[in-house]
Amino acid sequence: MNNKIMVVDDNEYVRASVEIICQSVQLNLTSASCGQECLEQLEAGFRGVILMDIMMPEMDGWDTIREIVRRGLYNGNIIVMLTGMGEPDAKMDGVQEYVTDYMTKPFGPDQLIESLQYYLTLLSVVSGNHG
Amino acid sequence: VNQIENRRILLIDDTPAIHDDFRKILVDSREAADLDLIEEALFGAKPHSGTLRFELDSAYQGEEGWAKVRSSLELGLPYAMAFVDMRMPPGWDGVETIEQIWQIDPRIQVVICTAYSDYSWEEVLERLEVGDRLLVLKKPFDAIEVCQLASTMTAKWQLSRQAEQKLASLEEAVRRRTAELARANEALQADIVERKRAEQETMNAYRRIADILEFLPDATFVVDAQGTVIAWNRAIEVMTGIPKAQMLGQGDGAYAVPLYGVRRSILIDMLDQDAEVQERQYPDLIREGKTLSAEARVMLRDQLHYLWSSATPLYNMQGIKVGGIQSLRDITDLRRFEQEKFRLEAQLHQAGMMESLMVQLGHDLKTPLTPLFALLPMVTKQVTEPNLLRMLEICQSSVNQIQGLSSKALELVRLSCREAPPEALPVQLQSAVEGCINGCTALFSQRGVTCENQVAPEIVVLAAPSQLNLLIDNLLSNSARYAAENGSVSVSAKLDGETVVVCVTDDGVGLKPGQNALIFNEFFKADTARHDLNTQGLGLAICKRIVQNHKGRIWAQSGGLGQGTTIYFTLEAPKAASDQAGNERMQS
Repeated sequence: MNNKIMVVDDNEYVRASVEIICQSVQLNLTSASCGQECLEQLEAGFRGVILMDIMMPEMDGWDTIREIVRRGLYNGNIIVMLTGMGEPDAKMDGVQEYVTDYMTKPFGPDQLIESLQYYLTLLSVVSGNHG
Repeated sequence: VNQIENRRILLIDDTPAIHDDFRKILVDSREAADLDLIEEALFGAKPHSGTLRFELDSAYQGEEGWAKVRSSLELGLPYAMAFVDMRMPPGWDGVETIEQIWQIDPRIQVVICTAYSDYSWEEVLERLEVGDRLLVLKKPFDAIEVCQLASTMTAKWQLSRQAEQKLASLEEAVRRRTAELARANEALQADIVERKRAEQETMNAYRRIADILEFLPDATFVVDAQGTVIAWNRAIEVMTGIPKAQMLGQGDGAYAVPLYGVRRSILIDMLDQDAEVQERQYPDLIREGKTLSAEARVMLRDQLHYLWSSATPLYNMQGIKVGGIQSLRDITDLRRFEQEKFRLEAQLHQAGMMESLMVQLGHDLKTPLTPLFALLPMVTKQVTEPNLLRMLEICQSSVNQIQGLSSKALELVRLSCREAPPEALPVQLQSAVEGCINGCTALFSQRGVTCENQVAPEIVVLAAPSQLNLLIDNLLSNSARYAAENGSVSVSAKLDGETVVVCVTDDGVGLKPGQNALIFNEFFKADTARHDLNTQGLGLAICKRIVQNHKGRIWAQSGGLGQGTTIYFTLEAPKAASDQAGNERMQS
């Protein structure tokens, strides 16, 4: 699987925007509309940078991370939280350590591309794979 | 009768032959039998059995007779009578002897025996208090006469004794009765005293209760069984303005007039009513035992008052209702406070709701902004046609404006939250300002504005670092916008006691008179005509909130339009004693 980036967001337009920007710079991207889909793709073998929305119905970003860790799917991934604003949230306790960075919504294309390139570099260091 | 039977006779006569004669007549058994018959014939009484009819003692001189009388008294065997001779030389004569004897035994009956009158009878009577104790026996006397006298006089002695005893017992009875009466009288007196005391006690108790009632803090009145007012205390005088004198003795619901303006039934009149009637008039009635309580709204001196009333029936010892008592407490202030509290709570609730709504709104705006923010630059890159580019630029600017507004609004709401502010730490002001100037470089260079950090390195303030940065950021970006084109901005600070006064000065548009305070209001913009799309009018409101969170002050000064603006704010400096520790933990 050559996809290295996954966006997890219940908002279709946010997912589409990230996709369009990634396509413009030839970055392969997969998207998930909820935590459950994210888990399914991880089960199917995805490893890479996960842009995770916090506020999602049913299973939110934090619950999804908990489940990723519980199922032993965390290793080989970098998780970046997409947040409205970095306000503290009681639900983040105990899972913060699995979060590499926070990206504040909204973000412009240049900021996104710059960040993704940084995370991908970081990922290659973490996984020891420079591919 | 037996115990006082006394037939002892003393004969006092100087002639021994007389003694023999008397003994024969009164004592000798042979002649006694005849005399028994005589006695029976005379007195109708059965004669005594036995031969001894009289006991006869003899004395031959008056003095001897007197001595015998005395010793007979000492022995408790007194003589019933004495025959006394008138002449008994050489000693006392008969009258003298009788006189002496009567002095020691006034009961003894005496027959004086005389042959001739030594004294005239009148003389005798004059010397002796004769009474009926003395008879005269004229010599020569015969046996029958002696016998008659002996019987009569001894009987008389006995009758006298009986009469005396009867009298004594009557006197005793009278004495006893008198004593009983005296005792009864005493008891009665004691009873009267006790009753008076009890009455006094009752009066005192009544007085006490009346006093207590009088000075009860609650307005209180009491009615009797007929509904006549019998007590109207001081508090109700004050409450209603109706003096006691005007209300006491009034019946027929007069007590309702000061409260309702008319005679009508009030709570105290509900005591005997059935529940249905009670609840019709007082729907929120509370019953506790026989006490009824309810709230009433009345007009007192043309003002609406809320009264909390309680009425209780009064009973006597026999359990018969003798009246009722009602107290009224003015709870108007309480009601007003409750209404005010309710209003404030509603306001608070509404503010809380508005706050969460603002947070939610600010937050939710981020998601739809994301595609706009992400895609508009992508589109712009692919467009070359100038009109289209202008349109996209306007869209981008509007999106930026929405983003700025929602971020600042969120910040403001968060700073205004009723939660405890973050902990204040000692911060070196110079480096904090330096960091913020660096963050605003782009903004300054856009308009060619220079910014100078004049803060001395030794100045330390107590502040939550993130809020301090936000504060300086906002002030600097504000100055950058309003400074003159290619103008200058400076930040300086000075320590004033335990307070640090910080000022941010620009040389720009300045403020119109009267705007100095307004600029800290939410959504205020100094120049409405400018329609600066890159500001939201929330920056200084946020600054004010942060300074207030730190218990400082913020204000503005300007020489007028075009004269530049200086914003001042104060923060606490760390206490001198903790300076050292503060410097070690210092943050920038």
